[in-house]
Amino acid sequence: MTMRSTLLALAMGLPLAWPWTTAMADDGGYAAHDRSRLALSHPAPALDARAREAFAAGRAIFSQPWLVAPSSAQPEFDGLGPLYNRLSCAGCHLHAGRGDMPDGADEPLHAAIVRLSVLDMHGARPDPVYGTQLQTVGIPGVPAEGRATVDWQASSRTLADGSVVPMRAPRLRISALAYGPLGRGSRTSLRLAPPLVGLGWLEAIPAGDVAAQAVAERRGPDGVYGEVNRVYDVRSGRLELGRFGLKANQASVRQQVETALYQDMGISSTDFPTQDCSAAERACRKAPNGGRPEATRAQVDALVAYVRGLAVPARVHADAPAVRAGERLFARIGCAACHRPTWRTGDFPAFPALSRRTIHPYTDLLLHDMGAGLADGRPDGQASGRQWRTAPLWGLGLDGAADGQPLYLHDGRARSLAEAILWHGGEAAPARARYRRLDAARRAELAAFLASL
Amino acid sequence: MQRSWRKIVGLCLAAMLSHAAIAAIVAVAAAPPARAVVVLTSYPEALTTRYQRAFEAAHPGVAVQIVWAHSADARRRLRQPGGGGVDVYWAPSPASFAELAGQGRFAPLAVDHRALPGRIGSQPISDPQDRFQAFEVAGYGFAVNQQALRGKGLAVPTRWRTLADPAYAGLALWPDPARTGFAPALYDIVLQSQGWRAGWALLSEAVAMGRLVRRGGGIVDQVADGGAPIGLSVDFMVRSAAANGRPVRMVYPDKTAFLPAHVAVLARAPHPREARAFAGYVLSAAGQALLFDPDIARYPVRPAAYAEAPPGTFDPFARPAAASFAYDPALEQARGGLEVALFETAIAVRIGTLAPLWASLRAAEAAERRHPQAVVAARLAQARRLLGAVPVSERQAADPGLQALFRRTGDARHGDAASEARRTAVLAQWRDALDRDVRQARALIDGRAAP
Repeated sequence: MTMRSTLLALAMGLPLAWPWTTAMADDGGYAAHDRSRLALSHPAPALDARAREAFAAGRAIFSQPWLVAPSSAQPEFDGLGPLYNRLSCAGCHLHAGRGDMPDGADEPLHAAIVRLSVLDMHGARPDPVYGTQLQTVGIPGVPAEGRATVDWQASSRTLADGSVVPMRAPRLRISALAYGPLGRGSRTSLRLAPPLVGLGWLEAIPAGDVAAQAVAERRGPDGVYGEVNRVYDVRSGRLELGRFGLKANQASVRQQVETALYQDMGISSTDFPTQDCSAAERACRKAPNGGRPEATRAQVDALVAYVRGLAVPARVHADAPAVRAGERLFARIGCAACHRPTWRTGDFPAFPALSRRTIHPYTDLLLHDMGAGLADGRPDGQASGRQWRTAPLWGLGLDGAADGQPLYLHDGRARSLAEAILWHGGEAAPARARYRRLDAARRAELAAFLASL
Repeated sequence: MQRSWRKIVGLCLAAMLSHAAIAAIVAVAAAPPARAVVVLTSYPEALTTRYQRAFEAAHPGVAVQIVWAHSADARRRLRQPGGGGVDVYWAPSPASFAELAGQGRFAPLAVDHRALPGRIGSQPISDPQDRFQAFEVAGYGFAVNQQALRGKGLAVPTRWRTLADPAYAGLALWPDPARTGFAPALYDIVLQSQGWRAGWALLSEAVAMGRLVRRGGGIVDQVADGGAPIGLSVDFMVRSAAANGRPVRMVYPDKTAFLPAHVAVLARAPHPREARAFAGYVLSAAGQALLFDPDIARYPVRPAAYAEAPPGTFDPFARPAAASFAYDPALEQARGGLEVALFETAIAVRIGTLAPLWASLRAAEAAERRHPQAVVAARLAQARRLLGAVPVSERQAADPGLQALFRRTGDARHGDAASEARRTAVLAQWRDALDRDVRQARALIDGRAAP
């Protein structure tokens, strides 16, 4: 039980022991009953022995640092970089959770990245020199692309009852660019590595149901207008429904995994077979590689099995009066218009354990205009510079369990749920306005509900 | 791409509208490159990231670059001209530090020996010449799932010998030393604490009775998941799992050892000032306190650090003298590769043969105890000696020539064609001797041969 959850439970008069809820949550084999620091890293109960074996193999690879090539000791894991951000998946996703943001202005990013693109008359394209992501580390002999740090700009918002909520926004600073300036019209997007909770279950939601949700939202109040992101799927060669990533720019867990290997660790794979070096990055191009591809199909399969097989933390206190009241408020003030509570997965032959389950991710998987305050100005696929995919909220109550500091939103700017809600703009502005008008007791009920997830 | 005009216009408009906001939050500075320190390590990323962040926060403007390598690859890199661009070597690999120090690759790293004594009891853990310093220590023993063990009505084992007790048959997971980084040291501790012959006999029987795990890194998870109640392990994996709430705890057997990991500054470090700052930080009070982090779970080498340890933390510096023995890490460094080869040849590849033979022997011994017969007892004692024997005596294992044949991958002589041929011949001799011993032991157990 985290300190924050404990305090919330005490404040709301809730029992401190975990009353695991199955009635409301209908865990259907996808929820793990643990609220410890490891809560996001368990295999789903529905996994059979074979799937658990694959999950365990993937978990080992997930934590394995990739090595500078050539390695005689572990050649199956060589090929790091030459330009990269982290050595392993776990480097950004400790215990399958989210990354971290530096506190001080001179501290570089470690578990967060900077996406890059240039915008021209044809739309958004990768930066001609630095590609789609600033890689802040190079293997020995290969200069890192640059350094990224963050200054936090403090501000505050006042609620209707006079309560003041401290706010902060990042000011991204890119320095020590080793290969010349960024391209003309460059766009940057600071991204905190998101938690991996429930990705497999989201993948098992039929694409048609997500598209239908977009249509249904247009009939709703508040001007909520969720849009599907259609993104290129390397394997199928077609545009598919995007559902992963902060702008829903990946269609499948497999492509999400391979993209992360490629961009974050510089590891090639079957669908991304080349080294991620631009023409200007000569040392990168000359550096030894770890084979073609560097991650074998079996290694990628294991990672995919791990990510798909991760359990979702079971809800707690879901039947407590305050939590139920908070859940009603969540719907009443308009949060549930985008944070759709419940879905039904379809047939999912690639990983049958995920098929036909009722799940509660609290997302519509759609893109929404979130206003100028959160805009990064960097289009991604069909997502605009103001749009973000609705973040799933399952596991939200455990944010900060692993490192003691909750961080919310795409760049980790929000340190409290109130701060996160107050950053919501654009289509979410009416819901935010209703939140600002809630009194302290109602806000506490809403917080109790969110902490129960 | 099929993108509607409406969408394209929307994207451009959005980009234009948000441009002012974006310009306010991004700055591309033409600042000079940050000062750096390049650290070569084989520590897990959870540990390196914690130190990286803490050091960078304490030393603004200095960036830590981690280069991850197993010890064999690390030694090869450090032998390159200029030391491979590395400033600091920081790893649990005592043999590598001893070898590299001997080659003059480290700069002196003086510390305050009142705060960092460089020994636990009588066992030195740092270099007496201050070329490298101990950074942390880790102990070896049993990962235990007490609930699972209690369910079988068994006590928590506190001696290595207990794992050869038939009551514990099938309950312990043993790491394969050829594929598990921590396992060679673990097995050497058994051999040194029990003695060469008794140690091999114990390993042959206990491993055959238990389960050999190809990749020992997963043992703790298996124990915590209830897959087995006992697993042989190095302690930090167990302590980290326990600190994260998993149902497993570390038990140190009667005679075990705490082995050091080290830090050293390279003599040809490209960034010597930053290198000394980094090494100083990991040895400082603040740096040592980070070792109690639940994702790290190592033991500090600064005794004063234990005053701030989480409740219940074991203190290796406070261990009674009677519970320790004079473990000699140099022995493992010299003969570790040979021990791994012996383990593979005598135990790992024969486990399918050994397990039923040991079971038959124990059944025969039990029958003999019920109806004592001196001849049978002598026959079975001879069978026990044969089953637990390895074809190399302790004296032979001290032969530098034989040790060199089995040095681990990445060492200088490995891969040499003549050595390869000789190694093949030696392995064939071992196999013949072991086959002979097994045949004879089987005949003795079956009563077809006399002692």
